[in-house]
Amino acid sequence: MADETYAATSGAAGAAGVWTAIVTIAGVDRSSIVVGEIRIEADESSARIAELTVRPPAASVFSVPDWVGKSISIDIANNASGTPADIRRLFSGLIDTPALDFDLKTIHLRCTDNLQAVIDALDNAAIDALTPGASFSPAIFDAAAIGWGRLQDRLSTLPAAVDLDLTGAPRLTAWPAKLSADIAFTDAHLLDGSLSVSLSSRHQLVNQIVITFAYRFPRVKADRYGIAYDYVSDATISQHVIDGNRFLRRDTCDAAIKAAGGTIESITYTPMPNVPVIGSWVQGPDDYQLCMGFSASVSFDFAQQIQETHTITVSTPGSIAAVGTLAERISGAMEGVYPQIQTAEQSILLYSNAISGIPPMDSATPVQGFTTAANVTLTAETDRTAANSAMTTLIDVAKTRIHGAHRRNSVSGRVPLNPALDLDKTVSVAAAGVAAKGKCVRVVHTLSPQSGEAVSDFSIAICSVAGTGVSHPETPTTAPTGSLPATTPLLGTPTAVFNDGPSEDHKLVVTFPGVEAVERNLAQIALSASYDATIPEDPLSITL
Amino acid sequence: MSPSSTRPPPGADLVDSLERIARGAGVTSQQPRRLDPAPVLPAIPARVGSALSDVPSS
Repeated sequence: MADETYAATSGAAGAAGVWTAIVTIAGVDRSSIVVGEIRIEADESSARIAELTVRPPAASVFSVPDWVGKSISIDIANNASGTPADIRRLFSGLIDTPALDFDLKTIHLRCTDNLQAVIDALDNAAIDALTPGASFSPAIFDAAAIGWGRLQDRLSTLPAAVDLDLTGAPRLTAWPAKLSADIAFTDAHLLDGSLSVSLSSRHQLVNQIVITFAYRFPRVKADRYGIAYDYVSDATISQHVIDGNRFLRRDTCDAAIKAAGGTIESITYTPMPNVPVIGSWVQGPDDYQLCMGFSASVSFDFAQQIQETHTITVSTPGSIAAVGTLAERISGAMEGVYPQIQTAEQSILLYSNAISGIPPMDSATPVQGFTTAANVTLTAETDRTAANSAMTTLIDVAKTRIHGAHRRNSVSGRVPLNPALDLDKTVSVAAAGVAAKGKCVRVVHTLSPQSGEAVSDFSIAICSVAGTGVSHPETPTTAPTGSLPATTPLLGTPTAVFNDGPSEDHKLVVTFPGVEAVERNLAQIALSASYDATIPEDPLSITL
Repeated sequence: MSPSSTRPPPGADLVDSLERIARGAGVTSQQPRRLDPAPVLPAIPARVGSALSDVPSS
């Protein structure tokens, strides 16, 4: 590997390094007016910052437009030959805030690589392309969030960081260390006494997140009853006529059932005896419309609200075994959007009874003797797919949060300024009894022209809890299983009575049981699922 | 009287700048959400229908 040292600061062939800083402001080399220290600081997921001081020529006129918002680049070069060579970029960005010091006649420049503005300038498609593999649900995040906000939402589901490279282009870097380090530091590279290790506190860890997600939506249902009724038979019809009782018309059977709100799925009628005369009754030309009874299959449509409460546990068992359970909770909810339920019920009824030609959006298929149910067509933003997306997003948020909580250990050190050190690099350290490897999360380059010192301070994140080599297998993120429409047997029995006596009201009365409360009231369904979150154990060994 | 410096104490600049420039890093729009109380649908009692059939048998 060649990136451990930079000859301008580490020296070469037994000679000390000689470096020079090149500061270009608005395209003009202003290196000659730089005084004091130049400090460049890069933190993971944050804007890269540079601070330096310039002292313009005496009697120069300060003008705000000359400084604020002007482009600035800071390079370091090998000046061993007296001519800048091997020029490396350390910073490029904009001057954010100039601060005047009237006593020293200097201008202190605070500069940024403009990370937020660069991200804010990206459209949603570009941000999504920048964060492949991230999850997003408008039910979990603000659907209107754009730019920086949208990036933060997506990054909360992805173990990765976004910052700008030294050309100002956004880049995504995964949290886990690469298999092979980009830069491998040893005792030979680190400045004496600079190595330090910072370990995460137990209370900062999170190894279990319990997600509660409520999803409420309607289902349409159908009861289908069989009803059979005969008020008279071949054996009793003679006495029926003698008593002066009434006969039942076939259309009366239909009318009574429809008056009850039922939909006739099928009906057969018990025909009158095939004889022309029974006592005083002589069959007339229209009497084919009479019947001795009927047998019908009748359905009723209605709807019910279902509320699924998903309890989803995301955890890392290996971490729990090592340090105990450290839990958090997050929650979400979604309500399926559907036409007003009673309006939908009326739509089904009107269509089923041929009162309306407009078909209902959804209806359950009736099965005799049972209550059946069917899912309905919800809006795309609130249907099952949307609910699943919301839950998988929350699961990814939980996994990412658990991973993030476990990478708060760090190993830090200082080396002669190394331009190759950057936030996208995996750095290994093998020095002073410490062996570690992790993603670089912080770099501070400090150039002090007056002292001739140029150093880089760096920190690498170490994900560690159960020990190097321990694996924490991950359960793939899939949507938890939801409830399904059920079919349940009907409990009640319909009845029919024909008040056929000469002094009665001559009405056929049919009665179907009411809908059981369990089929009508809000159905609360508790569901649970568990997922394992992975954390990669970065190599870390410390010998005291 | 010479003009006074407006520069804050050393170090404060950096903190202010970092807080402002890196504002919002890691802050998402995720909000805990809960369902409103479910509207109560009316119970469906026994369904009764009747129709007249006044056809004398003589």
